[in-house]
Amino acid sequence: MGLGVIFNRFDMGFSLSIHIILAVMGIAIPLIIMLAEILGQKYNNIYYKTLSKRLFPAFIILFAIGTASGTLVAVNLLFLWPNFMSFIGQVAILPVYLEVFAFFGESIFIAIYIYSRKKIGVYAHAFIMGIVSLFAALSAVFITMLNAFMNTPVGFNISNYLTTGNITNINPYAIFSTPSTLIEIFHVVSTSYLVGTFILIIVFAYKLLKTKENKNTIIYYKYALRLMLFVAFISVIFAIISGLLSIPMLYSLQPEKYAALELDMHPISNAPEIIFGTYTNGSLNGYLTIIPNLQSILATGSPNGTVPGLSQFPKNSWPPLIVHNFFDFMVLFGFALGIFFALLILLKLLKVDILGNKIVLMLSIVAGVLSIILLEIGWLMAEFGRQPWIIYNIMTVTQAANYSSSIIPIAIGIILFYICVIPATIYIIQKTYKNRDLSKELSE
Amino acid sequence: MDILYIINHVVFSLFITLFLVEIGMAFTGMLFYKSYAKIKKYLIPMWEINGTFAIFYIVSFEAIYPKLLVSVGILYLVPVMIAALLFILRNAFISYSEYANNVASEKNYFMVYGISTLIIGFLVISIFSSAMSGIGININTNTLYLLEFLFNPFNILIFISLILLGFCITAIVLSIDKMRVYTSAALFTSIFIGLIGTSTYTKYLLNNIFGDIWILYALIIILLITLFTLALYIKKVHISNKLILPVTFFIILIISISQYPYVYGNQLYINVYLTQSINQVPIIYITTFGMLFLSISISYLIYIYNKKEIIKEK
Repeated sequence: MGLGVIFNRFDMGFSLSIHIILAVMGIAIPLIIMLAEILGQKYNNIYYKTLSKRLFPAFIILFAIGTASGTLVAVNLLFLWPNFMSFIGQVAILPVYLEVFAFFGESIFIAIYIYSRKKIGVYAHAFIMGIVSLFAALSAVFITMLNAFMNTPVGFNISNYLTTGNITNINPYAIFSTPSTLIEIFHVVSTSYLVGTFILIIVFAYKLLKTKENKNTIIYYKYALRLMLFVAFISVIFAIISGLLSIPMLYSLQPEKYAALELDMHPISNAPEIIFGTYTNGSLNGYLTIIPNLQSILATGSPNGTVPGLSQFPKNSWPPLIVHNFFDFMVLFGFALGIFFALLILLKLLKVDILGNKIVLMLSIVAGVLSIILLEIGWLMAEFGRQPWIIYNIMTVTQAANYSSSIIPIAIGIILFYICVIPATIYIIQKTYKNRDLSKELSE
Repeated sequence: MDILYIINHVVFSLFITLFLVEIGMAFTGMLFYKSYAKIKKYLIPMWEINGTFAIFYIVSFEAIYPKLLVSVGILYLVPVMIAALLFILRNAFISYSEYANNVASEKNYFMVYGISTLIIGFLVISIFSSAMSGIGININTNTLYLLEFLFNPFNILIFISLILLGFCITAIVLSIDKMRVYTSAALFTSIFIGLIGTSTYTKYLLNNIFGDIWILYALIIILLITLFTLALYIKKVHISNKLILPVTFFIILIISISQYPYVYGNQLYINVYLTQSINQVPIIYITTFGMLFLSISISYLIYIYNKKEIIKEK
């Protein structure tokens, strides 16, 4: 793989890693704004009303950067991987095309939300923000359809393409229902709401920890956190269910990826779930067996089930084995989030003032940071796990790439650019809020 | 003429029309910052939607001409990636200016936004002008000669012509009566420079226009309506601000469609690159329903924008 292709991949990965953070916030924040506005009106609660108003400027600034980073990803797809997009354009373009209209919906309804305040009823106004969240989630759904196609391509004559290079028997609608589409969508949407909400939880828990005297402000942060933790709790349930459903899907549809994630070198029945470990000199070292038979149960539904091993596949089609470590961290961090919520429920049952407890607040911040790492690792695992393919068993990454030498300075420029823009944005958001006195807004 | 070709050019013309308004607003705001308060009222809902139109055009192109993507991806890598970076800067600074805490910061943020928008405009126009003229590129070797591509006389003339047109549109859309003299001069200069550029460097385009009587008629009629719109604006008949956008849209549509069926200065026969027929029906349906959705939601936005406040907050 040439240097240019490595830069292509790095540029794409870097742009995506920034964009997904902004995208999940773009999905979750409108939902929180809508719920706060509804609750504020229903209970005539100034704290919720203030929350809905104060979240909005941050949302707009993040949306502005998010649309730009999304545009950069779209441009990257075409200009870094022109052969890939040419293929997609012929076989699987419809969800990408539909995504444009979801994106339009999001932009237009944000503008409607801005101008409809005090012009329509409060519930209707809140509902408009719900539509914004829905369109943002729809964008994610359509793009996930493309990703599902990359993992499980359908909708054309594959054997004819592999032998002749000609794309024939196209069914442009097949991309809407690939074998992995539903589960991928379920997982992406639930984790988007989870992580997007957790990013807010980090900020609000930190603010609550810092606030010492102003009682009104403390109540405001507690109301906000209660709402956000509730949304995150619902989301984590769906994220866990969809995550578990992904395992048998990988087992049956992408066995090399599955074997690499679990670091199974050979097919094995009664497979245990192992964590850590490396594969060196033909043997597996340094791993821990956590639960016997668990891997077989999760993949096949039976403790005696046989799981695939990498030895069944040619070595040049193996994904990099680091995906196993990504998978381990993902499982561990996901487990930690589950424990965090179990702890909250337990404390609630014991009638402890959860949000008055400093340790819980600190744990909320830690859980939030873990959720962000989880999101990034999850994507790295999914994308590295498909290597060397960009479209599984159809087109390799090197076949898809643009080999122009101009990519290297551009990729460096993009990285430097983001390094400046992201802190600048955080600074501007902070400055915006510094000049808006919260206690004054709460007393209005 | 294939329906997908028309769809692609309708989307292109919508994108360019709105983008010209934005370029015009950025240019006017930078030259006459006093008018920014008026510009801001229109710019705020507009900049987000314009970015989406850019994506709309890119994706419609990917859907309609997938086989051309490899060539386009290699040829225009550098200008598009630079424009994409500046696009992030544009979005960041216009949103910063929206929530700026003082007038000085707002102005500084707007200036950064304005400069980025103008450079993006120059790069985008350079791409489309090279697609018209074929200057600065070699389509056989997929090579782009950056300096020639950017600074050839045709591109410079077209850029100046479009900047002036954007300036006129802004003055008419915002009904800025004080700029009537500048606006008239800018419009005539824009048309003159545009005609000089096109007739000198893209002779095939002129041949196409004169070779097809319907295109010629359409162009003459639309130019007359443009002058009529300018006259209304000069007479302070403010219906001109509603006419100017459709007029600009049709000017761009007619000129862009008149290239058919070639691009890159008559070198490349575009129909060969059209998507397979099986994809055409869903693309037509999605475009139709999508445009319908856009029309309804933008109409609702305009309705809400003009509606008076009726609710007092508790």
